[in-house]
Amino acid sequence: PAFKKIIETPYGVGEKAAPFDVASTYNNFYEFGYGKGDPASNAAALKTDPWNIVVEGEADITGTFALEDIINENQLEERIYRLRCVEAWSMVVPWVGISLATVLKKFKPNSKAKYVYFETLHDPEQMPGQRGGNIKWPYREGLRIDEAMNELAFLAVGMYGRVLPNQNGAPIRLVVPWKYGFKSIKSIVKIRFVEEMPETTWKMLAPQEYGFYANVNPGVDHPRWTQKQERRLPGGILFPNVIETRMFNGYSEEVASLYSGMNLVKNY
Amino acid sequence: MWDRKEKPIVFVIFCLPLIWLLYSLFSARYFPDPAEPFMTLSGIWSAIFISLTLSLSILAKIPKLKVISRYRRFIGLTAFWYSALHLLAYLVLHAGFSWVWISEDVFKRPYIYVGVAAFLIMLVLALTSSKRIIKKLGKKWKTVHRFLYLASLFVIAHLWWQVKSNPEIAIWLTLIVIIPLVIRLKETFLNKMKKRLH
Repeated sequence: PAFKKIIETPYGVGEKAAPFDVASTYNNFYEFGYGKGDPASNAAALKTDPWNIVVEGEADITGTFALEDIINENQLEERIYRLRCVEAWSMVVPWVGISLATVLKKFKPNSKAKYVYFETLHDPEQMPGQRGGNIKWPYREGLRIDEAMNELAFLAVGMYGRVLPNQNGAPIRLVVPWKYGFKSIKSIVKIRFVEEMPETTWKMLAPQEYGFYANVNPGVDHPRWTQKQERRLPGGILFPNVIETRMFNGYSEEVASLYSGMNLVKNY
Repeated sequence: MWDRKEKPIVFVIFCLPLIWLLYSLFSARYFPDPAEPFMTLSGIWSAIFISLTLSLSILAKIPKLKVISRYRRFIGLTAFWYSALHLLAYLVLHAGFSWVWISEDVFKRPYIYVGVAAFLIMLVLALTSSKRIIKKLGKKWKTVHRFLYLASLFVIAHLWWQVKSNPEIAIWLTLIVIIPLVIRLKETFLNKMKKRLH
């Protein structure tokens, strides 16, 4: 289903979006399997309506909220963002949603809210990938509060003008375009304002490879591969479209000030 | 060309994975990023044929399977060709011949250079597999070709160094490579010890 009204924005004007079929059939969502095509094959049964989100922690307003109480359909915008996966592929996707700050401010986080923590649904009945393996479910992610309040951080409920396909994180997901894709947590059921830096799934799994910040940075390699370049999808049948990776995925102007004075090699 | 009439059939069977891989690639089955599935699958087939190569002398001891000792070179070369395909997939599909990408990987990443080392060993073994060179090298040939044991260990390291969160493939391939490898190593060293005792 399509949305009635979407506000146009200047984000990503001139970028060439990947075809919908590519963006909706090639992604990581381990809750539905390890393969890139698994989410599209296995996510159909996910029940996204009704959908509740628990808001808790250091905020004046907390509790359980229905999705439609959190997202005002009249405020939906389209933003075309570059998505850079830590695995060195990337895609341009037109998302539909609301800036994360707009949503978070509604809950009036207090002065102790230094970080925001998110959780994905944990339901092995609906998410076959959660039945085994060595990942400690639910999937967890987090942002520093100033990162979360940055205008670029986005909560998407749709893409390509329509409701998010289940495999892409329906009904609501985070999109943090200057960070590696795994920060953009899908199918969110919990938002918690916290004082300490929260534990996050990939950092728990391999702390020497994935840090809390996970900013796109061509100067800091993954231990097993270079991050200097990326394959922009889709490429040709034989030859990939290899392009240079840019600092903060090309969003330095908007986000570099968040990290002034920070050692980004240490805080990867 | 064919010294035995069943050889073309064996050849076609060995080519089936290749045909399937190429068919999938050109029919865009691996679209939009063919690098990952193609590299994984060609790597798996390469490990399977390495395992077969290592298992040959063990299997040939079974009377009914004696015939396979005729295919030693054939199977060994097939393992080499699948590993060459795996390397080619990395160079073309994954890195798009980007020198930045390849040089960063080859010089800095342990899992890449153990993989390259395994390939180089297999390249030497492939180049020294002709009848003429076998004759020329005589007893030395066997020693040279025992380097396959080292290459197999490199292959196992190459596998484990890149496990992300799902070790399933690495576990299976390690099992099929390490079992014949251990048997072979045992035989080799037992034989050597026996010779010394005599």
